[in-house]
Amino acid sequence: MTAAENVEEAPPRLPAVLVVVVVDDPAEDLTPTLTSVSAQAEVPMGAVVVDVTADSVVDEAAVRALVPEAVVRRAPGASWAEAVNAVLTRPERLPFMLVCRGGVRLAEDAIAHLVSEALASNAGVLGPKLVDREQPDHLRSVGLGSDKFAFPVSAVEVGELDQEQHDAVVDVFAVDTRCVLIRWDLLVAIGGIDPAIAADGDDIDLGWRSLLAGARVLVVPDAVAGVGPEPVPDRRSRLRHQVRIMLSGYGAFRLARVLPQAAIVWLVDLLAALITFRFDRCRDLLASWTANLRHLGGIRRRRRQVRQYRQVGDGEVREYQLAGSAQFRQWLAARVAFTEGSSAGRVARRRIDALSDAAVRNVLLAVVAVGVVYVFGSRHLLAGSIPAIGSLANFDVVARDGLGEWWSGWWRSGLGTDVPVPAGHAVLGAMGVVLLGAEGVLRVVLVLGAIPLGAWGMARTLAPMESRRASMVAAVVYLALPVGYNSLATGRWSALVAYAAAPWLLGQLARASASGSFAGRSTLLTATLGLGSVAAIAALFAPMVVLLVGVMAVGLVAGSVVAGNLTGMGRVLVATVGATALAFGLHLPGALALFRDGGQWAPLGASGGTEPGTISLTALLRFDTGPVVATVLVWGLFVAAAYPLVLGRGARLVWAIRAWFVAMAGWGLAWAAQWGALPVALPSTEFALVLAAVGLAMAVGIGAAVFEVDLLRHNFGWRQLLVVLAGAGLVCGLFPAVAASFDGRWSMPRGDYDDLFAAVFPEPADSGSYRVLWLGDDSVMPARGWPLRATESFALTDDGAPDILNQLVAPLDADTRAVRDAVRDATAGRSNRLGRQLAETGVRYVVVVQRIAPAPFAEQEVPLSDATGDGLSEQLDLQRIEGVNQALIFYENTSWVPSRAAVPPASDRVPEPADAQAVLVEESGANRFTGVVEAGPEVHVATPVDLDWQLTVDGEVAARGDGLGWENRFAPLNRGDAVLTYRTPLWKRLALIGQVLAWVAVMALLVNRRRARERT
Amino acid sequence: MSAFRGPALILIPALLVGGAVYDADNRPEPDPVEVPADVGLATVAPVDASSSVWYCPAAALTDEDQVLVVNLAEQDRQGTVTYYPAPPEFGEGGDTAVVAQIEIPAGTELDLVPADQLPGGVAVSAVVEIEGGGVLVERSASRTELGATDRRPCATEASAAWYFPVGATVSDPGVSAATEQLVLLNPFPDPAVVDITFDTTNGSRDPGRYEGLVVAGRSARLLEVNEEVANVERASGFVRARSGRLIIDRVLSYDGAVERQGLSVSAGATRPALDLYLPGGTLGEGATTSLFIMNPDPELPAEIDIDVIAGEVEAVEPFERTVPPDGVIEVVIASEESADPIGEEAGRVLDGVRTFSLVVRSLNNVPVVAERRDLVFASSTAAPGLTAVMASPVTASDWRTVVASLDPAASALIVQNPLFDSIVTLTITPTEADVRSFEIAPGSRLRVPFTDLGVGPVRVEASGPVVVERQIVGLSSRSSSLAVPAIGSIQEP
Repeated sequence: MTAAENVEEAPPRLPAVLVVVVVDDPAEDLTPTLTSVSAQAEVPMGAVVVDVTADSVVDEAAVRALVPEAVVRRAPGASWAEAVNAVLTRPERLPFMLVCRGGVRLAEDAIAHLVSEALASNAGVLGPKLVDREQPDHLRSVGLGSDKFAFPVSAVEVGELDQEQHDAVVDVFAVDTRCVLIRWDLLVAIGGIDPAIAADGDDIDLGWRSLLAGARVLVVPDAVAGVGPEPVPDRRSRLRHQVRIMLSGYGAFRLARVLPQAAIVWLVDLLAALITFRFDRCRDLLASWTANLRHLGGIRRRRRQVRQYRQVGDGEVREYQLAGSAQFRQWLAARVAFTEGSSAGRVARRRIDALSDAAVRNVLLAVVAVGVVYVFGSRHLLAGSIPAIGSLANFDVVARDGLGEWWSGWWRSGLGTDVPVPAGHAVLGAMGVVLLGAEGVLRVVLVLGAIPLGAWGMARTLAPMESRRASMVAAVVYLALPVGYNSLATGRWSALVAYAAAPWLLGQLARASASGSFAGRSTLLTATLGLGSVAAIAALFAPMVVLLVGVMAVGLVAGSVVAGNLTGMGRVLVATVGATALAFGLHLPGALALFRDGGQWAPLGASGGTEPGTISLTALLRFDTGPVVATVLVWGLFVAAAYPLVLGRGARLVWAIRAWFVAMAGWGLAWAAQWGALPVALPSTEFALVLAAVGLAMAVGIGAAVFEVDLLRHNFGWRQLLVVLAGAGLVCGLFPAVAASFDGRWSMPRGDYDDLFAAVFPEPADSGSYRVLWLGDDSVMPARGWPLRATESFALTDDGAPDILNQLVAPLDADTRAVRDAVRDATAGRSNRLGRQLAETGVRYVVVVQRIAPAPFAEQEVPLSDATGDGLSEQLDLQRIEGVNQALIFYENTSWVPSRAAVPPASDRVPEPADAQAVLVEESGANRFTGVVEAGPEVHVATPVDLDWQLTVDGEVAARGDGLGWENRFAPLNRGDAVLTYRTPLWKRLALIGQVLAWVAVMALLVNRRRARERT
Repeated sequence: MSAFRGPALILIPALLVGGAVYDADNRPEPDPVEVPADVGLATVAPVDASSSVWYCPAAALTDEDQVLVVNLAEQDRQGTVTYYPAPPEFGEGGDTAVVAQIEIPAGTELDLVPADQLPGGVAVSAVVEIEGGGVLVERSASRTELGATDRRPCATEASAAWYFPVGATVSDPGVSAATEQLVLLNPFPDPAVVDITFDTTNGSRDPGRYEGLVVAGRSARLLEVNEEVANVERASGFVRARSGRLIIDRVLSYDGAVERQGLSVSAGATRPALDLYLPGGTLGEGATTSLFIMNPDPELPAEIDIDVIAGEVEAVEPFERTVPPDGVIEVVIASEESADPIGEEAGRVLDGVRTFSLVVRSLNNVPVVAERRDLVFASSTAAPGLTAVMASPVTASDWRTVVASLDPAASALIVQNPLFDSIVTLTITPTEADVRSFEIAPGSRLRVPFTDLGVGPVRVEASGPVVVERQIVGLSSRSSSLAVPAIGSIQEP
């Protein structure tokens, strides 16, 4: 070896780096930063300290003392981007620039590692591994990802420890700009840092443009830098910058594809923010676009600049981007992980980890399996249509009539009433408007969505038990019980709503109790608000759901007594009372209808009679109430539900007993109805059985938690055999639902009355406005009404077939009661001119419904009693229309007078049909009718007397009187264009506005309390 | 959290199982609907009813026939009468309906002559609509040439099925000719389509012209049965509507050429029943009583028990018969002193029995219809005539009728107590006489002659369910019909 050879070969000299330290936070101690800079060895450096603080806090002497070669520049108020760009203009250029903020502490040889890698990899932008400067074993950043919408995704979870899991040089989309090495020529080429994006997106912007320039962006873990806490992002800025980055970074073709997608993502985000009352986020989302649209000139300049240095296409950059919407995946991952408030990184990591967990895999598999079964069982309903049977009426008019009728203040229930229209009409109407009239879609979502919504609620109810298996089992059992499908098959809208709402109600009651696993989940006030809100929302569509809350509470208390543990029951009762009051209050002024006309249950949906039924208790226990047959296999679920009673301990045992008693409260309620022991008719048997289903499902779910926790205490023995038995019972209990899915429509009829009614009922514009009187057993009636006799009820609809807005009724007032009395008289042999008695009310058709759907779609017939049927056939002025359908008996009233008609003046007798001329047949709004009227005849309007009805003819108000003692009569003086309208009283409008504000306030309060809890 | 497992493990199964067992054994039945449907008899609507209607299909076949509207209420009544021409089925259409307004002061009778409204010799049907209840409407048919008068209530219900066990179209020389007519009234707006068949002494007859017969809405038709089913001793009619409902009267007369003469104008039966009652049977020289039992079931035979109740005279053992599906049997109930029984089957001879009631019971749950035909021959010392009384399928505790001024001694009300274990107390409230009270022994009957009642409306109130028959006997004619129960007092047997 020669002397020359003995000389150790000197390492190649690294190119020089200009270290630019931007001091933008006066609170940051600059000394450690400069000390770490001066300690960098092996790299020739220059240093520039740029003080952008308003007070120019940097002491130049102190800087020189640490870094003798440092130059201090002052640019008060400038952004870090402007500071860096200013440095770029210096005549002396070095190969690399290391930009870091005050407070950053570089590890030894950090810069050397960065530069070495830059040379080795020919990278243009490199970032070190950022760690917490106080706790260096805590990672802060190891590069950033981004989706196509410039949404940043960190690979590091908050608080993640450095265990060398990120110690590999990787290509990333961007690096944290708190410390970044940039090739000087690259930075010059791309025009420096964008001064418009000084923070909250500057990293993504730098990385994106660097990639477009053909440079690589790397993270070099061997280079370590310590940083302080993550700066609090400005959401508005970040959103604005995301849009700017997209608009300026993409080429025209790619931008045309991405922009619509971005608009959808933003829109969904906006709607979600609206629904959850995060109005500040709404503002920021909107501002993110409007701000950029205001600065389109700047955008265009940037695009020109990009075109000049672009070296690669958008497709190549796309390869570095995450697929889909990273924001949405982050949100979804948080739900799958059953946690709330997780950071993006934590959620992403947890999601990845969770998938490797067998339990989670099983949960997901179960969810998928259940979803497949449900979709399979609903396939014909989804592909075709959901038949409009029973109270599952069509939604065709909600967009047109729902909101308008609610706002007008006149409810066309019965013969019409000034009782406030239920808020549910407004909600349905608003939904229809939002969907631009796609009421069919709305119907599918609400009807078929009720069952999965209930299952979801069931899973959420048991979430505090922190057992995925328990939540899954409870949800699956709830789905497997026939009550939901029987509600579909028999057209029970109220029962479906109850099915969707009951688990959420039970969950809120459990949280209110704050006992066992539910302790600490919610304050009493929040739980009460939540309970009341759910009840109020459900009551929009099925008012009697509010009463279920009380029945549930009774079940919980009874179970607690039996279990010998009343913990939390006081809170439950307080929450029940409070929630009921809240739900009642949110439905004011409409809820006052309960007290009208002597107090009635009809507005709650109790239209049937309270006669004893025919379903035995055994059938109720098996949920065997409809065509979806619950075979003996359902008893298997009882075995599974008994398991936690035998083996459960502590809170699990207590809650299992409580769940059982909730179930028994439901069975008890249904049984009492079958015995005719209730003072009010339930909407259907399934309505009560929903409670039994939710209690039974909860008990079975708790059994799964018992399996996970309590069984482990014991050695192998009889207990394990019980598990096998319970498991077998569970599996058996699922079979009926699976079997029921094979027909693809959950035993719903294949057709409905819609087409038939459309063919039979004329348009009011053709022959005059009219009403239809519906008679039938409450179980087959297509519209809600009032009790007639035993289980028979009657209903009235305007101008043809009923729809979803006819599923709630006002109290039976004196005028509508007169219709009932006339029908009773006629069917009791005390009258033979029912048509004449109904003529003044505008009833043109009397339809007796005997099946839930027309023949041949429904075979089971529920005929009227002989008395009612024979009595109708004895009427001399009801002409039976043959050949309509076997399921209906159809009569036309030969004495019919249109409900808006010109009649002889000053007559105190019901006009003859020949003397009545239909008028005001055009409906130009809710409770607004137009047409030409003549002078001379009076205008008969078959609505109860009300001073707020007004008829104007060519702008002149016609005198109003009480015709025939109950209806409105107008005497126009001249011939002309007439408008009949209901003038809504101001107090009513104010009350409706107040109602809306009350809803908004309650929901906002609930959301804010929940968010506040999440933050703590 | 601590909890007790034991109580739940005991209580939950106990409640569920115990509840299921209790439910199976004690399930309540739904309350029966209070309003009876399709009574099967004319009924009087309550006074506070909104309206009431009476149908008289054979209101007038001659100029002498009348419709009698009796106001039983304490308030005046107004109403309308719609007169429909009832032309022969295959004859000319006839006039359109005529509507007339009527007023009936409280407690009075208004006699209407339908022929005055629709002159021209065509038969007339009438629909009487009254604003309110408490009105009884009867028709009075007269045949001067026969010397016969028949008075009985009109109908208050339409039906899709009508049964006429009694009927005849015999026209052989040497016997009195019988004429049978059916008057079909459809007062409803929609048409009715009917099929009319007959069970005769010569077998069943299904006239082609009576198959799918259309009776237009708000119209009436007269059918000459003799033209389609000629010369049979018995022509029992079955009328079944394929669609719609009607009211049908049968007009039966014997011309008196040989012994038999008389006129009967009555509605048919609409409601077969398992138990049927006929209060007023009489035996005597020169008279014959036949019981016609019709089985409308097309498939099942009816096993019938006929109970002849002779009051306190020794009981007569009931006898049984079988009625074939869609068939009719005639049981002649005769005394040894009566004329030779004619008809298909001789009944039991009742020694010493002069008056009796009949109860017809179906033993195998096949409902039947029964009608009693009384023929008093011209040679008899009693007033001759023909009466045909449809058995009552119901009992009631409140009956209304009108006492007409014919032979008050021979005319009477016959009240049957169908209960074999209870005495029924009777209160009869005539218009022009004092209230009378009676008792009827279990299973027995009571005859109250008109001499005790005066002329005018009569109310019969009983402490239990009874059946009331009115027998009007004149100098040369007789007429029997059931009284009219008040709708709220009807009791199912």
